[in-house]
Amino acid sequence: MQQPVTASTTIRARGRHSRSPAIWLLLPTLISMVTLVLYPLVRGFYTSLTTSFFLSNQAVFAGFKNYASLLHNPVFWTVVWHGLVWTVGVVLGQLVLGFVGALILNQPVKGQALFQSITFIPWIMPGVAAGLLWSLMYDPTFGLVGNIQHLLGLSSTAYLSNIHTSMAAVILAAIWKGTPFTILMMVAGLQTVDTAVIEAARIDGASWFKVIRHAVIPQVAPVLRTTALFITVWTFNYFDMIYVMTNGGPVNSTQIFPTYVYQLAFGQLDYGLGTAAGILSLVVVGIIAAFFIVELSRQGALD
Amino acid sequence: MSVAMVLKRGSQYLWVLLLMAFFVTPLIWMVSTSFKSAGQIYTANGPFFPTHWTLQNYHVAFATGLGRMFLNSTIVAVSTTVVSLLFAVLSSYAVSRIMFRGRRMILVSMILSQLIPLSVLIVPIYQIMAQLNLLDQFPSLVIAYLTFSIPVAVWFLRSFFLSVPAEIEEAARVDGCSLFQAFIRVVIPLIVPGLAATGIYVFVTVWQELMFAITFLTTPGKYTLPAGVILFIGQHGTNFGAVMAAATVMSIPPSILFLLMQKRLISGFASAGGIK
Repeated sequence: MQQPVTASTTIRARGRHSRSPAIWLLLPTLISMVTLVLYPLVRGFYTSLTTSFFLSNQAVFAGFKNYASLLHNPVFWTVVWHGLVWTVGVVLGQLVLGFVGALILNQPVKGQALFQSITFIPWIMPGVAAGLLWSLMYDPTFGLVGNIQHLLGLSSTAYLSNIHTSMAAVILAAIWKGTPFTILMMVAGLQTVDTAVIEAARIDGASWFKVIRHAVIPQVAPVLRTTALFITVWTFNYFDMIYVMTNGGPVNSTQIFPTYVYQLAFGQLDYGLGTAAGILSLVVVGIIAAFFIVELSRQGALD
Repeated sequence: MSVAMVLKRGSQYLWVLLLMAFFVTPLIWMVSTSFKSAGQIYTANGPFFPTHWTLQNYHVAFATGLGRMFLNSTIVAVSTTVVSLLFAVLSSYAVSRIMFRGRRMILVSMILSQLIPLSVLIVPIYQIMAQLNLLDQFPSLVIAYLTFSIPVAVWFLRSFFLSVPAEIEEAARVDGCSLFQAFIRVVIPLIVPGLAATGIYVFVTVWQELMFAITFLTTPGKYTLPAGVILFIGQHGTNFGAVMAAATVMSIPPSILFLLMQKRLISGFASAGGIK
């Protein structure tokens, strides 16, 4: 979709004149990143080492006390587990449905472009709006989900207030909201697929499934990997929908890192404990980030 | 058409229909509920579409301050977009076009800063804003939003800069333009569509931001849409109709902007993710 990137797109720095413009051009961005990301990170790490007292500005250095109390708290481990279930559930759901959706929307049907556009609305709409919509959809008496189940002769329950169904319910809502991104990325990826390979496989009598598995997926693998990395980070860090739908409840059954951190810091007003939980969640993000960097440098996106 | 062809076509449309049903039905339900009277909403297994349409829910929503929230969101989102684009267009050009030591490190740090959970940054940024006496004011939100909007914009714009052949710029330099003149007169006009796509993406992300907004803003008259609509739910928790009206209203601007820029946004994402 973009023109191939070649070495000639970069003006090589020559002599002492050429380095200075880069510095000046970068300066506003660098200053804001240092003051808005780096400094807060360092400051946040310091805060995580302090204990503050309710309604007082006094923060006392406490070493790793907050970390120790988190690691000894069963709720913290519940949050770790839920973060994993939530992220894996949402990402797998989005990838599978997104890939199948892309295959469907890549077919030459009338109105293809229009269908692709409409499908994208759940992704582009605010998370708050989607969260409110799904809260009402799950309403046991007046919601659409219950109505549909009634129509099919099934019984329904208050999915969001039942600890056994709440996680599945928010995951389904997040799959609905996020899948369009995967669909559009994969539609773009499918357009780069070499159809000759597919034709050859067809002529050899390969089944539809085998064609997809051996001729299509290998060709779109880089797109699939990048998309997977994007949505994994987004999902792990996603706050809005769960906050609106369940606020981590009932009984922490949908509590994930962002809602937990927020609840500790701004619900219980324990900044030290909240930032400590946030810093611990960075470990997971760091692992995903490492994959991200490796993948992008393999694709030459950092050259 | 042969029978096999008809069957194939038919199954293609059937799959499209199924897919659309999953994604579009909730949206239609949201809009249709916003036009229903209370009587039709609070009926077990009530009608999917309103039997008679009413604007009552929109009246309630706007009477509770939806218009003001819409304006606040617009102010915050537009300011953030303008500042991020100004900063990002310069630095993105630098990391896309100029070879210098540390360039790769800057690219990597731009990616890393996008991955940092906002929940980690919110406490320190909140404390900084409190010290600067900026809480409950729009600048605190705009500044906080730059943490994610600048890196995204740099990374997004880079793909558009890379698609402009360097020869065009070199030709301008040969014709006697300074680096700055070549940038303003030759490169910028070529990436206007990219700037628009990047701007729309930043706008849409800021438009829906919830966590900072509910934390920083305390005066109801200053609430942005996500914060205000949540508050509004707190007060009118059972008014489904008004809630759906608010959800519909706040979804309209991003949807329209997306439709305008769909192709470029996707190509921005695709190349931001290394797809060529």
